[in-house]
Amino acid sequence: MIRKTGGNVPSWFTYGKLRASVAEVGNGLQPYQLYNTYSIGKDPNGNTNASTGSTYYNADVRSELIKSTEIGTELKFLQNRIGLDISWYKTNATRQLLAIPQDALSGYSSKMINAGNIQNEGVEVVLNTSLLNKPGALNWDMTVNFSKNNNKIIALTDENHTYGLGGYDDVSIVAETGRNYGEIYGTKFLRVDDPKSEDYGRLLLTSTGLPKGTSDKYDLGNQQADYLLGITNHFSFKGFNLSFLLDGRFGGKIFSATYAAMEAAGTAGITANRGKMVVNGVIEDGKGGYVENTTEVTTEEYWKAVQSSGNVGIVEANLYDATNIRLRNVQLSYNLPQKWLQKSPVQRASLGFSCNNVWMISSHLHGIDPESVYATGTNAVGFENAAPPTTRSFMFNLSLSF
Amino acid sequence: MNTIIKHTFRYACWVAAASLVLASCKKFDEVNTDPTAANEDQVQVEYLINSAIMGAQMNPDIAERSFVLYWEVAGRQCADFDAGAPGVISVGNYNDGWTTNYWNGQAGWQTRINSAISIAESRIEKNENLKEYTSNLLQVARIWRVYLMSEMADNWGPMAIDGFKGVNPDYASVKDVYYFMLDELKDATSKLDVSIKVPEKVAKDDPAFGFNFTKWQKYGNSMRLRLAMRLSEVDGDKAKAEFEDAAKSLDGLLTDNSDNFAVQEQDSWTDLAGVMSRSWDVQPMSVTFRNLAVGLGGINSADQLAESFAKYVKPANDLGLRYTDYFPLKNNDPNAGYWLDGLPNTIDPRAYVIFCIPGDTLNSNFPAQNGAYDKNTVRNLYKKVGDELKLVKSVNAAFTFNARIDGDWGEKDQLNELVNYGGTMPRLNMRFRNSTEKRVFFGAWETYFLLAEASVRGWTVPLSGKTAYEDGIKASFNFWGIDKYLTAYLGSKTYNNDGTSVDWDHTTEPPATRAMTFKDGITGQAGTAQIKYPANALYKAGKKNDHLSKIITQKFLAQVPWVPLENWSDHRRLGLPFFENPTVEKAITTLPGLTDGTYSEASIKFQPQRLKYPSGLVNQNPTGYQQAVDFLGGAGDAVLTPLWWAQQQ
Repeated sequence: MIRKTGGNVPSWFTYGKLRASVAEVGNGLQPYQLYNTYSIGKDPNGNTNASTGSTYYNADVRSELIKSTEIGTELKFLQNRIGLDISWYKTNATRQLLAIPQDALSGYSSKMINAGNIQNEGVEVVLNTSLLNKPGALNWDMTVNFSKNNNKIIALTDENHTYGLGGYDDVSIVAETGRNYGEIYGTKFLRVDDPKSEDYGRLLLTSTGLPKGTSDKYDLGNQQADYLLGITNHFSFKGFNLSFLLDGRFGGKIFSATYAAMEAAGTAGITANRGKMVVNGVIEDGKGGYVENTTEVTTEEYWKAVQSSGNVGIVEANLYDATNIRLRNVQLSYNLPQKWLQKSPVQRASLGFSCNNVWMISSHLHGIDPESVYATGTNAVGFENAAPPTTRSFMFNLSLSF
Repeated sequence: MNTIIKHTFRYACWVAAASLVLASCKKFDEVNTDPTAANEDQVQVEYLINSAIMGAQMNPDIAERSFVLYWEVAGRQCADFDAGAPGVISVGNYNDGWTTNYWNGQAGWQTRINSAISIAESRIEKNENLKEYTSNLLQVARIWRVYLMSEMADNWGPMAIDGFKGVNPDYASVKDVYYFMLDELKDATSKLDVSIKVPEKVAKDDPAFGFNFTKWQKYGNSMRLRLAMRLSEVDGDKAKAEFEDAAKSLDGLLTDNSDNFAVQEQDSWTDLAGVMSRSWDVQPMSVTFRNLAVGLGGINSADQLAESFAKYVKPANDLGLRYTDYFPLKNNDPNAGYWLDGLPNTIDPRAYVIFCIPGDTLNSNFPAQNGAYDKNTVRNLYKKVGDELKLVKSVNAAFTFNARIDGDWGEKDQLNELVNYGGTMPRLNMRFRNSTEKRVFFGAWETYFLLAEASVRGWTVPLSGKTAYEDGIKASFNFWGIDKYLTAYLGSKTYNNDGTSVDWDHTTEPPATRAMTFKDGITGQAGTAQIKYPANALYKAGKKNDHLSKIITQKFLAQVPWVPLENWSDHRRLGLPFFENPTVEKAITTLPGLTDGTYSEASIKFQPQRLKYPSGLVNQNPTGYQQAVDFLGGAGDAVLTPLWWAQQQ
């Protein structure tokens, strides 16, 4: 277009497009969330009883409002051999219909109100390249997909600053004002917290030399990934097509209740050392100071002590980095050559084989898939607990066109 | 022509569309009405009362955390064994998960009872959907609401009086809560019309009394006695006035076991499951209970048990074996360091009804739910040699009756296997663990002991102190079916380990010490020791065998195992009966005042005073929480902050 109007662009710049969009969308409630009702049931003796709901509904709430802005550009270079698609977006969800927690002595544990300003801001970059492009010889296309999304809570309500998203026992995932969506709260190892002590920060052990968890919960990290990266390579050579997708998620934390239970039972790989150990920490000496721990304990006692705090053990002990890189998908197909099909009613035919969830190349979770999360129906993806492992599937396909 | 038709047609379309829209407006309300839920006109008051009573019966989740892990320990019914070493509430610690669980349960039950009250009140006011018993149901709901509020106030302290209206409530001081509760009870009991009967279908919705309004009135009046007496130390005039008003006539009070507020348990994972029924909870006898029961009443163990037990009964002044290296000594239990290798010579006849005898596995009431853990009676004592544990002695604890002291056992914890095991400890009997009993919320004995205490204080009550006291013991013995021991028991002048006897007229203080014999557990060498009766600085009168000591001793024993919360409340109020300190072989971080220099004294700083508010409250209701903390004063929202009506030092 620029060339047609007499402008000058370098010859390697093939195509360029700029786009922008602004949108406002509304969102409604689930059914029957306007009026407060009673539910009638039966008690264990078979007699009728009734109870109220746990959320205080309000018929005056308004719809949610989601405002989004997106700016993007699509650029192609070198006769479409390199394509770059960058888009930046910012979405603000305001007037969220949230069930904000309230004091249970109000009669309800939460109240439905319009509140909050939750922001999703991020950038997505897709780079398409045709690295080798010669008809009749090996063709190689590579697509790189990078996305970074920052989901932040700008505000909730004037009174509430945290909103629970999910959790189990000592692990809770919350949305906190001013932080990213999905802060993970849990118990920590009990440590010396007197900054003036020379043992500040060291593990504070029980009198028998074993670690203990704190009674309160602390902020241990966030479940959000920093960025996602995917690379697809596609090769084709004389009718054969091979493509594979490498997928990486970087950043974010996840708590593994499965691994905590395995440590306590002694089936986790990390417990293979079955000897005695001296835990590196200090013990209170009864006079306000600390002495170095010299008590020998068995590794079994150590892991059992870690697990005995609450039902999932000391949360800090099993909070892992959720970064993982995997080979997500491999596809191999063969297009039957035309000369074989000329005499048949079939116009085109191809045979294919694909495999999903092929190989976890690197992860910190000792073999557990960070995507096998516990609370699949919620947004609390920061912990997993004995979910069935993600499956690997193999597919054969035959495609015929008539 | 065509244009006119086009216009008319367009006009007609608009009209049709508009009328369609207007006609369907009626459906908007219908669309928003949940067909499976009930609105205010459809729900009945008795349904909500039913849920509120059943809820308080506690499902196993809430029951284990509040009844077993908090109340049984704070009320010194059981040792703090099931919470994991070194214990939770016994050492002034807390578990936010348990507290939150219980708080949410309580709030749910109070929500339902308040709904019941507001529906009943609105129906009476509008005079529609009214039944002849609606007003009575309103009074019943108010009485039950008072119980639920008292349970919450006695656990946490300041709470909301005017809540449950959909918005975050203000918090009131404990004084305001108690005044409100007393006024409610007075008004509700007076408005009950006991002549009204409810239809059978409605009666089924009351698992306690079947809406027998006479029983509800008696319960309301007796609850008023309990709550009034709570104020005895801090607001004596109000306590006296309320108490005397409620106790005008003995007929109006809950005085017979058939009137006990009791709800039948059911063996299912529901609200009706037994509160003590989780099979993994060991629930062993506490040292407090042992010190109260041993020697009290003068009934010989041999007379209480079958012939085969006679050979295990030890002489009266026998301490048993001395194991100073294996049992902690840094506490004020007078029997510290001794292990009775047999059954006590004389003991309160309720002891064997409540707790099992280790090794008595053929008894149908023996709690054997965890295989060898509950049945094996042979355990070892070790010595530390360098980093290794060397076996010193194997002890058979069959047919003994000892208790484990709370606190931090330090080094001695790994040396002594006798007290960290099910098979060697007296534990709550099976009948309390299989959800077949009726959970008692208020027993006739409590009314009598409250009247006895009032009499000792010089208040005007229909019974004399002695009659009330003896009737209370009689009601308790009758409840357990051990009336045959009553006469001998009531005349007994022998002292228990704490220095109290049963006989009302025997108020001679015990001597400073008594001579007892023992054998050294390792060398076998015989010896004698002068064993003290423990000093209880928390009971300000300084006596061990005066009338109030006797009353509270008997009340404590009668309330086991159903009402441990009252035992905790009585101790916080009076310092009675004697609660020994947790042992402090190693320092306990949550009881900083308990040290090598202070463990032989009794102090409120070594006893839990309340539960901390759940951690979510400060975020859910910041204003209310701040009001509550201000009312608490002192150290604020902590386990060791005493409540308004409790001893402050």
